[in-house]
Amino acid sequence: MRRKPTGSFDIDLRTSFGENNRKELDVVVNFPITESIAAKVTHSAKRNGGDYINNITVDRRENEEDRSASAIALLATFGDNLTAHYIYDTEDDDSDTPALLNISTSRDQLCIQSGTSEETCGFAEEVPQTKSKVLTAQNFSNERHYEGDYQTLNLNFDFEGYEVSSTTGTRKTAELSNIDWDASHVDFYSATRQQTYIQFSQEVTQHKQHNEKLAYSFGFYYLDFDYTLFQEEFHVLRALHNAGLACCFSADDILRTNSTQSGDLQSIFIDGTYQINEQWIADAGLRFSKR
Amino acid sequence: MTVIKDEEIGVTYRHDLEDLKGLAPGLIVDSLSGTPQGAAISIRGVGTSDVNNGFFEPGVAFKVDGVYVGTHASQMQVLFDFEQVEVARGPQGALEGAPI
Repeated sequence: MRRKPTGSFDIDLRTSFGENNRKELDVVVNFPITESIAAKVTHSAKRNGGDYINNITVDRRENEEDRSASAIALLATFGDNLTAHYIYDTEDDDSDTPALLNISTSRDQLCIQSGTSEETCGFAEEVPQTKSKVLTAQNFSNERHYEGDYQTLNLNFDFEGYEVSSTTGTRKTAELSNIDWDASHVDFYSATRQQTYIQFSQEVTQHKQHNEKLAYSFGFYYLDFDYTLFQEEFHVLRALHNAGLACCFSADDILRTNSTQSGDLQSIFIDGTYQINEQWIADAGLRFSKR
Repeated sequence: MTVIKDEEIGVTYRHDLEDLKGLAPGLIVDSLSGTPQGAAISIRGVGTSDVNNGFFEPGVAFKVDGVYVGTHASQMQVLFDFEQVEVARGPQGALEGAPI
Protein backbone atom coordinates (compact mmCIF):
# COMPACT_ATOMS: atom_id res chain seq x y z
CA MET A 1 0.00 0.00 0.00
CA ARG A 2 1.52 3.26 -1.13
CA ARG A 3 1.57 6.46 0.89
CA LYS A 4 -1.34 8.82 0.37
CA PRO A 5 -0.85 12.48 -0.61
CA THR A 6 0.12 14.43 2.52
CA GLY A 7 -1.63 17.71 1.70
CA SER A 8 1.52 19.75 2.37
CA PHE A 9 4.28 20.76 0.01
CA ASP A 10 7.25 18.45 0.25
CA ILE A 11 9.73 16.70 -2.01
CA ASP A 12 11.48 13.38 -1.47
CA LEU A 13 14.31 12.69 -3.88
CA ARG A 14 16.57 9.67 -3.95
CA THR A 15 19.13 8.84 -6.56
CA SER A 16 21.94 6.37 -6.88
CA PHE A 17 24.41 5.42 -9.53
CA GLY A 18 27.24 3.01 -9.84
CA GLU A 19 29.47 1.03 -12.07
CA ASN A 20 28.31 -0.59 -15.26
CA ASN A 21 26.12 2.35 -16.16
CA ARG A 22 23.62 1.77 -13.37
CA LYS A 23 21.43 4.76 -12.57
CA GLU A 24 18.33 5.09 -10.40
CA LEU A 25 16.10 8.04 -9.62
CA ASP A 26 13.04 8.12 -7.36
CA VAL A 27 11.17 11.36 -6.69
CA VAL A 28 7.94 12.18 -4.84
CA VAL A 29 6.32 15.62 -4.86
CA ASN A 30 3.38 16.35 -2.57
CA PHE A 31 1.38 19.55 -2.86
CA PRO A 32 -2.08 20.84 -1.91
CA ILE A 33 -4.61 21.88 -4.53
CA THR A 34 -7.36 23.10 -2.22
CA GLU A 35 -8.01 22.64 1.49
CA SER A 36 -9.80 19.39 0.80
CA ILE A 37 -7.82 18.06 -2.19
CA ALA A 38 -4.21 16.93 -1.97
CA ALA A 39 -2.05 15.79 -4.86
CA LYS A 40 1.08 13.74 -5.30
CA VAL A 41 3.29 13.10 -8.30
CA THR A 42 5.87 10.32 -8.31
CA HIS A 43 8.44 9.27 -10.85
CA SER A 44 10.84 6.37 -10.73
CA ALA A 45 13.49 5.72 -13.37
CA LYS A 46 15.98 2.91 -13.45
CA ARG A 47 18.69 2.00 -15.89
CA ASN A 48 20.62 -1.20 -15.64
CA GLY A 49 23.61 -1.40 -17.88
CA GLY A 50 26.56 -3.67 -17.64
CA ASP A 51 28.26 -5.76 -20.23
CA TYR A 52 27.81 -9.31 -21.31
CA ILE A 53 30.86 -11.23 -22.36
CA ASN A 54 30.32 -13.91 -24.90
CA ASN A 55 32.06 -17.07 -23.74
CA ILE A 56 32.98 -18.13 -27.22
CA THR A 57 33.86 -14.96 -29.02
CA VAL A 58 35.01 -13.02 -25.91
CA ASP A 59 33.02 -10.22 -27.45
CA ARG A 60 31.82 -7.65 -24.93
CA ARG A 61 28.47 -6.00 -25.57
CA GLU A 62 26.57 -3.46 -23.55
CA ASN A 63 23.31 -4.50 -21.96
CA GLU A 64 20.46 -2.00 -21.90
CA GLU A 65 17.51 -2.10 -19.55
CA ASP A 66 15.47 1.02 -19.00
CA ARG A 67 12.40 1.34 -16.84
CA SER A 68 10.32 4.34 -15.86
CA ALA A 69 7.14 4.54 -13.83
CA SER A 70 5.09 7.63 -13.07
CA ALA A 71 1.99 8.20 -11.00
CA ILE A 72 -0.44 10.97 -10.17
CA ALA A 73 -2.52 10.64 -7.01
CA LEU A 74 -5.39 12.80 -5.76
CA LEU A 75 -6.86 12.56 -2.28
CA ALA A 76 -10.14 14.40 -1.71
CA THR A 77 -11.93 14.71 1.60
CA PHE A 78 -15.62 15.63 1.61
CA GLY A 79 -16.74 16.55 5.10
CA ASP A 80 -16.11 14.01 7.83
CA ASN A 81 -17.68 11.14 5.99
CA LEU A 82 -16.19 10.59 2.54
CA THR A 83 -12.66 10.30 1.21
CA ALA A 84 -11.76 9.55 -2.39
CA HIS A 85 -8.29 8.46 -3.42
CA TYR A 86 -7.56 8.28 -7.15
CA ILE A 87 -4.28 7.03 -8.60
CA TYR A 88 -3.17 6.94 -12.22
CA ASP A 89 -0.05 4.89 -12.96
CA THR A 90 1.90 4.44 -16.14
CA GLU A 91 5.04 2.42 -16.65
CA ASP A 92 7.37 1.74 -19.53
CA ASP A 93 10.03 -0.94 -19.67
CA ASP A 94 12.59 -1.43 -22.44
CA SER A 95 15.16 -4.14 -22.63
CA ASP A 96 17.79 -5.02 -25.20
CA THR A 97 19.89 -7.92 -24.06
CA PRO A 98 22.73 -9.26 -26.18
CA ALA A 99 23.34 -12.95 -26.65
CA LEU A 100 24.80 -14.76 -23.70
CA LEU A 101 25.99 -17.56 -25.91
CA ASN A 102 26.52 -17.63 -29.61
CA ILE A 103 26.00 -21.09 -30.99
CA SER A 104 27.14 -20.92 -34.50
CA THR A 105 27.30 -23.56 -37.16
CA SER A 106 29.51 -26.52 -36.51
CA ARG A 107 32.07 -25.28 -39.00
CA ASP A 108 32.16 -21.84 -37.40
CA GLN A 109 32.40 -23.42 -33.96
CA LEU A 110 35.37 -25.49 -34.99
CA CYS A 111 37.10 -22.44 -36.32
CA ILE A 112 36.33 -20.24 -33.35
CA GLN A 113 37.26 -22.72 -30.66
CA SER A 114 40.51 -23.60 -32.31
CA GLY A 115 41.57 -20.08 -31.45
CA THR A 116 42.68 -19.32 -34.95
CA SER A 117 42.43 -16.14 -36.91
CA GLU A 118 40.15 -15.35 -39.79
CA GLU A 119 42.87 -16.15 -42.27
CA THR A 120 43.06 -19.75 -41.14
CA CYS A 121 39.30 -20.16 -41.10
CA GLY A 122 39.01 -20.55 -44.77
CA PHE A 123 36.46 -23.28 -44.40
CA ALA A 124 34.11 -21.18 -42.27
CA GLU A 125 31.34 -19.08 -43.69
CA GLU A 126 31.17 -15.39 -43.14
CA VAL A 127 28.49 -14.41 -40.65
CA PRO A 128 26.30 -11.84 -42.37
CA GLN A 129 25.71 -9.69 -39.31
CA THR A 130 29.33 -9.35 -38.24
CA LYS A 131 31.00 -9.69 -41.64
CA SER A 132 33.37 -12.03 -39.89
CA LYS A 133 34.14 -15.72 -39.87
CA VAL A 134 34.92 -15.87 -36.17
CA LEU A 135 32.47 -13.42 -34.64
CA THR A 136 28.96 -14.80 -34.61
CA ALA A 137 25.82 -12.85 -33.92
CA GLN A 138 22.18 -13.26 -33.26
CA ASN A 139 19.70 -12.81 -36.00
CA PHE A 140 18.24 -10.06 -33.89
CA SER A 141 18.71 -9.03 -30.31
CA ASN A 142 16.42 -10.04 -27.47
CA GLU A 143 14.35 -6.89 -27.41
CA ARG A 144 11.33 -6.26 -25.25
CA HIS A 145 9.02 -3.32 -24.85
CA TYR A 146 6.40 -3.27 -22.12
CA GLU A 147 3.77 -0.65 -21.35
CA GLY A 148 1.25 -0.47 -18.55
CA ASP A 149 -1.55 1.92 -17.62
CA TYR A 150 -3.37 1.48 -14.33
CA GLN A 151 -6.14 3.37 -12.57
CA THR A 152 -7.27 2.93 -8.99
CA LEU A 153 -10.15 4.59 -7.13
CA ASN A 154 -10.62 4.02 -3.41
CA LEU A 155 -13.76 5.39 -1.72
CA ASN A 156 -14.26 5.25 2.02
CA PHE A 157 -17.39 6.49 3.76
CA ASP A 158 -19.82 5.71 6.59
CA PHE A 159 -23.30 4.41 5.83
CA GLU A 160 -25.89 3.39 8.39
CA GLY A 161 -23.22 2.65 10.96
CA TYR A 162 -21.05 0.68 8.54
CA GLU A 163 -17.59 1.62 7.37
CA VAL A 164 -17.84 1.15 3.61
CA SER A 165 -14.77 0.72 1.43
CA SER A 166 -14.93 0.55 -2.36
CA THR A 167 -11.94 -0.22 -4.61
CA THR A 168 -12.19 0.05 -8.38
CA GLY A 169 -9.21 -0.84 -10.55
CA THR A 170 -8.32 -1.07 -14.22
CA ARG A 171 -5.08 -2.43 -15.63
CA LYS A 172 -3.97 -2.39 -19.25
CA THR A 173 -0.64 -3.92 -20.19
CA ALA A 174 1.00 -4.71 -23.52
CA GLU A 175 4.30 -6.35 -24.40
CA LEU A 176 6.19 -6.83 -27.63
CA SER A 177 9.24 -9.07 -27.53
CA ASN A 178 11.67 -10.62 -29.95
CA ILE A 179 13.47 -13.70 -28.71
CA ASP A 180 16.22 -15.56 -30.50
CA TRP A 181 16.19 -18.90 -28.78
CA ASP A 182 19.08 -20.53 -30.59
CA ALA A 183 21.27 -17.40 -30.84
CA SER A 184 22.92 -18.61 -33.99
CA HIS A 185 23.32 -16.65 -37.18
CA VAL A 186 20.99 -19.15 -38.82
CA ASP A 187 17.32 -18.75 -38.04
CA PHE A 188 16.85 -22.05 -36.22
CA TYR A 189 14.37 -21.01 -33.60
CA SER A 190 13.19 -17.51 -32.81
CA ALA A 191 9.93 -15.94 -31.81
CA THR A 192 8.13 -12.63 -31.99
CA ARG A 193 5.47 -12.26 -29.34
CA GLN A 194 2.74 -9.68 -28.76
CA GLN A 195 0.64 -9.85 -25.61
CA THR A 196 -2.04 -7.67 -24.07
CA TYR A 197 -3.78 -8.02 -20.74
CA ILE A 198 -6.77 -5.89 -19.72
CA GLN A 199 -8.36 -6.19 -16.32
CA PHE A 200 -11.21 -4.56 -14.42
CA SER A 201 -12.02 -5.21 -10.79
CA GLN A 202 -14.48 -3.90 -8.24
CA GLU A 203 -14.60 -4.68 -4.57
CA VAL A 204 -16.98 -3.33 -1.90
CA THR A 205 -16.51 -4.17 1.76
CA GLN A 206 -18.64 -3.13 4.73
CA HIS A 207 -17.29 -3.34 8.24
CA LYS A 208 -19.09 -2.87 11.54
CA GLN A 209 -17.95 -2.93 15.14
CA HIS A 210 -21.16 -4.34 16.57
CA ASN A 211 -20.11 -3.99 20.21
CA GLU A 212 -16.93 -4.16 22.22
CA LYS A 213 -16.49 -7.84 21.47
CA LEU A 214 -18.08 -8.52 18.12
CA ALA A 215 -17.00 -7.11 14.76
CA TYR A 216 -17.80 -8.33 11.29
CA SER A 217 -17.17 -7.53 7.62
CA PHE A 218 -18.87 -8.61 4.43
CA GLY A 219 -18.71 -7.65 0.79
CA PHE A 220 -18.53 -8.67 -2.84
CA TYR A 221 -15.84 -8.76 -5.49
CA TYR A 222 -15.89 -8.79 -9.27
CA LEU A 223 -12.97 -9.34 -11.64
CA ASP A 224 -12.99 -9.35 -15.44
CA PHE A 225 -9.97 -9.85 -17.70
CA ASP A 226 -9.07 -10.32 -21.38
CA TYR A 227 -5.74 -11.72 -22.52
CA THR A 228 -4.54 -11.91 -26.11
CA LEU A 229 -1.44 -13.53 -27.52
CA PHE A 230 -0.06 -13.39 -31.05
CA GLN A 231 3.16 -15.25 -31.57
CA GLU A 232 5.23 -16.16 -34.60
CA GLU A 233 7.83 -18.88 -34.20
CA PHE A 234 10.44 -19.46 -36.85
CA HIS A 235 11.76 -22.98 -36.83
CA VAL A 236 14.54 -24.94 -38.42
CA LEU A 237 12.20 -25.94 -41.22
CA ARG A 238 12.40 -22.47 -42.64
CA ALA A 239 16.16 -22.46 -42.21
CA LEU A 240 16.37 -25.69 -44.16
CA HIS A 241 14.34 -24.15 -46.92
CA ASN A 242 16.51 -21.05 -47.01
CA ALA A 243 19.63 -23.18 -47.09
CA GLY A 244 18.25 -25.12 -50.02
CA LEU A 245 18.55 -28.35 -48.06
CA ALA A 246 14.92 -29.29 -47.96
CA CYS A 247 12.58 -29.81 -50.79
CA CYS A 248 9.37 -29.98 -48.85
CA PHE A 249 9.30 -26.91 -46.67
CA SER A 250 8.25 -23.47 -47.74
CA ALA A 251 9.37 -20.08 -46.51
CA ASP A 252 6.01 -19.81 -44.80
CA ASP A 253 6.79 -22.59 -42.37
CA ILE A 254 6.14 -20.37 -39.42
CA LEU A 255 4.16 -21.48 -36.43
CA ARG A 256 1.63 -18.76 -35.71
CA THR A 257 -0.31 -18.72 -32.45
CA ASN A 258 -3.40 -16.62 -31.98
CA SER A 259 -4.87 -16.98 -28.56
CA THR A 260 -7.45 -15.08 -26.58
CA GLN A 261 -8.57 -15.80 -23.08
CA SER A 262 -11.37 -14.08 -21.20
CA GLY A 263 -12.51 -14.71 -17.69
CA ASP A 264 -14.42 -13.28 -14.82
CA LEU A 265 -14.66 -13.96 -11.13
CA GLN A 266 -17.43 -13.12 -8.69
CA SER A 267 -17.20 -13.68 -5.00
CA ILE A 268 -19.02 -12.82 -1.80
CA PHE A 269 -17.45 -13.05 1.59
CA ILE A 270 -18.15 -12.54 5.27
CA ASP A 271 -15.84 -12.62 8.25
CA GLY A 272 -16.47 -12.06 11.95
CA THR A 273 -14.31 -11.83 15.05
CA TYR A 274 -15.32 -12.23 18.67
CA GLN A 275 -13.11 -11.14 21.55
CA ILE A 276 -13.43 -13.97 24.06
CA ASN A 277 -11.03 -12.43 26.57
CA GLU A 278 -7.81 -10.46 26.55
CA GLN A 279 -5.86 -13.42 25.20
CA TRP A 280 -8.25 -15.13 22.84
CA ILE A 281 -10.10 -14.01 19.70
CA ALA A 282 -12.38 -16.29 17.74
CA ASP A 283 -12.45 -15.67 13.98
CA ALA A 284 -14.74 -17.25 11.41
CA GLY A 285 -15.11 -16.47 7.75
CA LEU A 286 -16.71 -17.74 4.59
CA ARG A 287 -16.11 -16.89 0.96
CA PHE A 288 -17.90 -18.16 -2.11
CA SER A 289 -16.25 -17.63 -5.47
CA LYS A 290 -17.31 -18.46 -8.99
CA ARG A 291 -15.09 -18.07 -12.04
CA MET B 1 -1.16 -11.30 8.65
CA THR B 2 2.36 -9.88 8.79
CA VAL B 3 2.56 -6.11 8.37
CA ILE B 4 5.87 -4.57 7.33
CA LYS B 5 5.67 -0.83 8.03
CA ASP B 6 7.37 1.95 6.12
CA GLU B 7 9.72 2.61 9.06
CA GLU B 8 11.23 -0.81 8.61
CA ILE B 9 11.43 -0.42 4.87
CA GLY B 10 13.00 3.01 5.17
CA VAL B 11 15.54 2.40 7.94
CA THR B 12 17.12 -0.52 6.20
CA TYR B 13 17.67 -0.04 2.53
CA ARG B 14 15.03 -2.24 0.95
CA HIS B 15 14.73 -1.25 -2.64
CA ASP B 16 12.15 -3.59 -4.03
CA LEU B 17 9.88 -6.44 -3.07
CA GLU B 18 12.64 -9.00 -3.37
CA ASP B 19 14.41 -7.33 -0.44
CA LEU B 20 11.51 -8.28 1.87
CA LYS B 21 12.50 -11.91 1.90
CA GLY B 22 12.90 -13.10 5.45
CA LEU B 23 10.67 -10.42 7.00
CA ALA B 24 7.58 -12.61 6.86
CA PRO B 25 7.62 -16.33 7.70
CA GLY B 26 7.68 -18.55 4.65
CA LEU B 27 7.80 -15.69 2.15
CA ILE B 28 9.99 -16.15 -0.92
CA VAL B 29 10.23 -13.46 -3.59
CA ASP B 30 12.40 -13.98 -6.64
CA SER B 31 12.76 -11.78 -9.68
CA LEU B 32 11.77 -13.28 -13.02
CA SER B 33 14.31 -12.79 -15.74
CA GLY B 34 12.85 -11.91 -19.11
CA THR B 35 9.75 -10.42 -17.52
CA PRO B 36 9.37 -6.67 -16.96
CA GLN B 37 9.44 -6.11 -13.20
CA GLY B 38 8.40 -9.72 -12.87
CA ALA B 39 8.24 -11.50 -9.54
CA ALA B 40 7.75 -15.12 -8.57
CA ILE B 41 6.20 -15.10 -5.10
CA SER B 42 5.76 -18.12 -2.87
CA ILE B 43 4.26 -18.21 0.60
CA ARG B 44 4.52 -21.26 2.82
CA GLY B 45 5.40 -23.46 -0.13
CA VAL B 46 2.60 -22.31 -2.41
CA GLY B 47 3.43 -20.33 -5.51
CA THR B 48 5.03 -20.39 -8.91
CA SER B 49 8.71 -20.15 -9.63
CA ASP B 50 9.43 -21.45 -13.12
CA VAL B 51 7.57 -19.02 -15.37
CA ASN B 52 8.67 -18.14 -18.87
CA ASN B 53 5.79 -15.78 -19.60
CA GLY B 54 5.15 -12.85 -17.30
CA PHE B 55 1.55 -12.58 -18.47
CA PHE B 56 0.57 -15.85 -16.82
CA GLU B 57 -1.63 -15.75 -13.73
CA PRO B 58 0.43 -15.96 -10.55
CA GLY B 59 -0.06 -18.66 -7.95
CA VAL B 60 0.02 -16.18 -5.08
CA ALA B 61 -2.33 -13.20 -5.28
CA PHE B 62 -0.67 -9.79 -5.24
CA LYS B 63 -2.46 -6.48 -4.72
CA VAL B 64 -1.36 -2.85 -5.02
CA ASP B 65 -3.57 -0.32 -3.23
CA GLY B 66 -6.26 -2.95 -3.02
CA VAL B 67 -6.25 -3.85 -6.72
CA TYR B 68 -5.35 -7.42 -7.69
CA VAL B 69 -2.48 -7.72 -10.17
CA GLY B 70 -3.38 -10.60 -12.50
CA THR B 71 0.08 -11.10 -14.04
CA HIS B 72 3.60 -11.82 -12.86
CA ALA B 73 4.73 -8.72 -14.75
CA SER B 74 4.78 -5.46 -12.75
CA GLN B 75 4.75 -7.25 -9.42
CA MET B 76 8.28 -6.27 -8.42
CA GLN B 77 7.36 -2.95 -6.83
CA VAL B 78 9.91 -0.27 -6.02
CA LEU B 79 9.42 0.43 -2.31
CA PHE B 80 10.46 4.06 -2.08
CA ASP B 81 6.91 5.40 -1.61
CA PHE B 82 5.22 2.62 0.32
CA GLU B 83 3.36 2.96 3.60
CA GLN B 84 3.32 -0.73 4.38
CA VAL B 85 3.40 -4.20 2.90
CA GLU B 86 0.93 -6.78 4.21
CA VAL B 87 1.60 -10.48 3.87
CA ALA B 88 -1.46 -12.70 4.35
CA ARG B 89 -0.37 -16.18 5.28
CA GLY B 90 -3.48 -17.62 3.77
CA PRO B 91 -4.65 -19.61 2.12
CA GLN B 92 -8.00 -18.30 0.95
CA GLY B 93 -8.89 -15.53 3.36
CA ALA B 94 -12.44 -14.34 3.83
CA LEU B 95 -11.77 -10.65 4.42
CA GLU B 96 -11.39 -9.88 0.72
CA GLY B 97 -12.84 -11.15 -2.51
CA ALA B 98 -9.73 -11.33 -4.66
CA PRO B 99 -8.28 -14.82 -5.11
CA ILE B 100 -5.80 -14.56 -2.25
